[in-house]
This record gives sequence, structure tokens and C-alpha cells, in this order.
Amino acid sequence: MSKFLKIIITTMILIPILYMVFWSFTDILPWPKLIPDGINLDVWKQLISSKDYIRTIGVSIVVSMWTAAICILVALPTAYAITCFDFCWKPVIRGIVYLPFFIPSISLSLGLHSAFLTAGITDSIMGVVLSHIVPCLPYTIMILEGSFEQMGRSFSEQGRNLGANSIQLLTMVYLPNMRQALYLSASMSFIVSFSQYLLTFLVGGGIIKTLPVMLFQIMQNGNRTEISAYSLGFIILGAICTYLIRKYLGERYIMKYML
Amino acid sequence: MHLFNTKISRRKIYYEIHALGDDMSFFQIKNITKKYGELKVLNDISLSAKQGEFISILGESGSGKTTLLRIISGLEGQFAGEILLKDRNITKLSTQRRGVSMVFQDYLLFPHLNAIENIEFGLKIRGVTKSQRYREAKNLLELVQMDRHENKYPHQLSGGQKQRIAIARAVIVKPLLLLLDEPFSSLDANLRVDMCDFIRNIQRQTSITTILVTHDREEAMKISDRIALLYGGEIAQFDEPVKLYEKPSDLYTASFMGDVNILAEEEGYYLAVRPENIRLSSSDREGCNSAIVKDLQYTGSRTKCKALYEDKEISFFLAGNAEKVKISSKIYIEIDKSKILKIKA
Repeated sequence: MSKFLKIIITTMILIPILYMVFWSFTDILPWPKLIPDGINLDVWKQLISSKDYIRTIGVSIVVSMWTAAICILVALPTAYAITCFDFCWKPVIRGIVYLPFFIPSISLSLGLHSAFLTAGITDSIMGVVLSHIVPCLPYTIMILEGSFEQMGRSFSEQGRNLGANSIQLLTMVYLPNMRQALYLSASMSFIVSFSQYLLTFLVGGGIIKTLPVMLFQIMQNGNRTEISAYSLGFIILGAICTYLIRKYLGERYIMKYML
Repeated sequence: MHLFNTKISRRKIYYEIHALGDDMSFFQIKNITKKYGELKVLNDISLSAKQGEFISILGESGSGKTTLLRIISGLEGQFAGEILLKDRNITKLSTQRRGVSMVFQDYLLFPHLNAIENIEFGLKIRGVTKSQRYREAKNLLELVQMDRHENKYPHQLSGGQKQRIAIARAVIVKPLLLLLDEPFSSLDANLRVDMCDFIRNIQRQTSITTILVTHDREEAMKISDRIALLYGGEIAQFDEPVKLYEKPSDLYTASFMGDVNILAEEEGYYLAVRPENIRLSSSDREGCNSAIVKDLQYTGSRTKCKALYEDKEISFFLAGNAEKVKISSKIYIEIDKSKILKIKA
């Protein structure tokens, strides 16, 4: 990537963040002033001391963690089967797996809401987690499938020839060589779940409140300082969680406890 | 069932050496036919091996030799025919249950395991205790002369070293049959010679019945007890290297196994002679014939001379750089009549 392109991309990411940082500490900037009179920490104090905000963070993390974990557990055998085995209807199965990519999110959300209402699992963390799995799973499978494909069937053949069954192949040959892909797919499903608004709002029914739902409510109030502070909090939290997944799930947990 | 026992003493390894068994039925493949759609890749292949024998499957690219090896290993399905190994019909057994180990062309060492862990893999799968599998892997590391590299990962090893580890990994599970798929193809020329000797030594020490797939006739001749030459999915000839060279069944076998000069054609046979059975003669004495030199190819220890003899191009070898022989000059050659091959046309 050329240096110029790097500068452009970095600027495009940084400008909105800097804008939010600026406004989270400033409630008013009358024309023609360019620099505010002082720093206003009221919103940050309110944000840190808000029990509702802390609880919402907790719910968001729990929902996204569960979503990521279930997605990995479902995606791993699915991607393994799609890549390493030949079976009837394989293209159809692959099509079904990636279907959520092609369905508009509003249709998906309304359909899931209707189905979950019938099943009686709305307004619960379980319902929200299950609904989040639907849009997250295709990303997880796609990343893991790529990783299996990269290793190819040769390792599988070599492992089988040395006596390994399918489970041993997965745990003793494939998984140890897939740390990067596991971390990536876990992070991806975590982030997608972490930023789900519509599904959480519909399936959670306002009772299960995650950060995007809270952020949406704050946006409706129209307070720019509040919106900026909460948005920044959302970004910082997402970055911290992704870092922690990488540190503990990507390197330690999988190697130490799963294998 | 242990095919060989290991004892370790003063860092020397002694393998109980089994003499070649007389029983041709130790390993048999019967009437193997394999099709990919309409394309027949293997056609009615049958061959057998004695216990402890070293067989090579030799052939050009696309002759079906790797497919045959994959069928034997159980990695290729949907074929007709039978495979028998030590009184068991293994045709329908999975690769895990066949007692057949395969060393793949590109070694396929597991990148997350170091050398000794790679060797231990098969035993770990079989639930062998850590101390025992370490002991056995260590013995094999010494056998393949890699004991100084036990903690190295595949990316830290050279091609030849990787191959030694791959062989040790295949041998540790004590297979009844060892399959080697073009093991020398990714090695450079000097290393190929060393590895060829090395593999033959290991095979002699372990006495594991071995099948090697190669396209290199010299390697196959050097290393094998018998060679099956594949041509177009069929066995052209299956015999000892010397018989393939000196008594080829057809012209394809004769020319695949080495240079051959066709001297005449009579009653459905070619009369031919190998280049080493043509000698340069100093004079026009009885039994000598004249020829015109067309080309000289100097290769160091000898020079290949191409000449026109009775309107046919023949080739033979001259010792050293053969300074006296010049292109377009007339020479006298002597053909060893006792070595003339009669090959089916």
C-alpha cells in the first residue's frame, strides 16, 4: 500500500474519532470561537458513575462472548466438513450457510423476531444470543473455511495415514495450526454481535439492553456531548475486548485448554 | 504385531533383520482398475511382493503410478480389484486400519510439531505413553541420523532432513508396508544419491516391505529388488532391474530403461543393442563395421558418440574425451553379438 493511501485511510478513520473526542469534552462552542473556553467532564463523570451504563456493558459483553463462543463451536465442524469431506448437497449446504449475507438485515430481523416470539424466547439473553448467531455465523465459517482450505487435504491424508480419526485430525493437526483463524473468527463474531442494534432491539424487546440500543436511545435525545462520549466509550470497549480475545483466546486459552 | 524389535546399546541401533521371505503372497494386488469418468487410469494391474522386498513402481508422469500408490494406502477409493496384505483382504479397510504407512512427496511434516513430536505422532494417536513414545522416537532419530535436530521445527530443517523425519514418522508405527511417493523429487542432485542409499539402508535394517514410486529409472534400478514399469495405466514389465534392462519385454521397456540402438527388424522382432555393447575398433578387422560420426557429447568420464551405421543412427560411449574421434570422420565399431537384444515389435 502506498504511503499516500495509508495517510488518506488513517485520516478518514481518525477525523470522526477526533471529532467525537473534541465534542465529548465540550458542550458549547459559540461562533466564531475555534477553541472552547474549558474542558467539560460532566458527561464522562456521568458515564462512569452510571450503573445503567455499567450494566449495559456487562450485558453487551456477555451476549457477544456467548455469540462468539457458540459461533466458533458451530462453525468449526461446519467449515471442517465443507472443506475436508465430500458429501451430497455440499453446494446447497454452503449456500444455506452463507444465506444471511444475501438477506436484507431488516427481513432477517423481523423473521427471526417472529420465529422467536412463537418459540417464546424473546426478551431473554438466550434469545438475543441466538439471534446474533445468525448474522455472525457466516463470517466465522468463511474465515475458518479459508484456513482449512489453506492447509489443504494433504495434512488430513497424512494424519489419517498415521492412524488419526476425524476428531484427532481436527484437534491434533488442524486446530493447532489455526490459531490466527480462530482468533480472527472469534473477534469478527464478537464485533458483529457487539454492534447489533435491530436484532437486539426486536428480540430483546427493550428489556435486554446492549450498548448499541443504549446509544440509539441517547442519539434520540440529541445531546452532542453525550452522543460523542457514549460513542467513544463504545469504540474503546470494543477495542479492549478484541485485544483481550487476541491475548487470551487467541494465544493462551485455545492452546492450553482446548487442545 | 512387531515387525522389528529395537535394542539400544552404546548409541548403536540394532534392528532384527528379517531375510526376504519366499512367500510371494505377503503383499498382492489383483486386477486393479481405476477410472476417472471415462478415462481409465489403471487397467488390470496385478503385482505381488515378498516380505521385506523393495519394489519400485516406475513410469512417466501420468502413467498412473501415484494413483496406484494412493489406492494401496487407502486414500483413493472407487476402484475395481483386490489388495491383500499378510493374509488379510485390506481392499475395503480405511487407511487407518491397513497397516500401511506412506511418505508423501512433499513430506507433510506438521508445522506445529518439532522433529521428535512429528515422529511420535503415530504413537500418540495409538495412546502409547509419553515416555515410551519418546524412547522409540529417539531410537528412530538416531537411526535416521537426526538426533542432533530433535527440537527443530520443520521450517528449520532442510529438504533432506525433513525427508528423514518423514521416513522415521512413517516407520515408527511399524507398518507392514511402507509406501514412498517420489521421495527424491524435491531434492537436489547430490542429495538424491545420498538419500537413495540412505533409504535402501533403512529399509534393509527395518526389513519393512517397501514400495517406491519414481520416474527416475536409475534410482529405481539402484534401490529395488524388483521394478514394475507402468505404461499408460498398465504394467509393461515387472521383474528384477537387470532383467528389465537386459531382457526387456517390449520396445517401450527397452527404451525407457536406457538407450537402445535398433539394428534390424525381422519377423515381428527388433534386433537391438545397448550402447555399452558397441566398442570403437582401431582398424577394419573382421567383425568390425564402419560408421560416420555425427555428434559427440562430452560428459566428463565419457563421451557419447552418435554415429550413422547402415543408414541408422546409433549411439555408444567412448572413454574420456575421445580426442582422436572427430565429427564426420569414419570410424570402425565392433558390436558384441552375444548381447544383441531380441525385442518384440
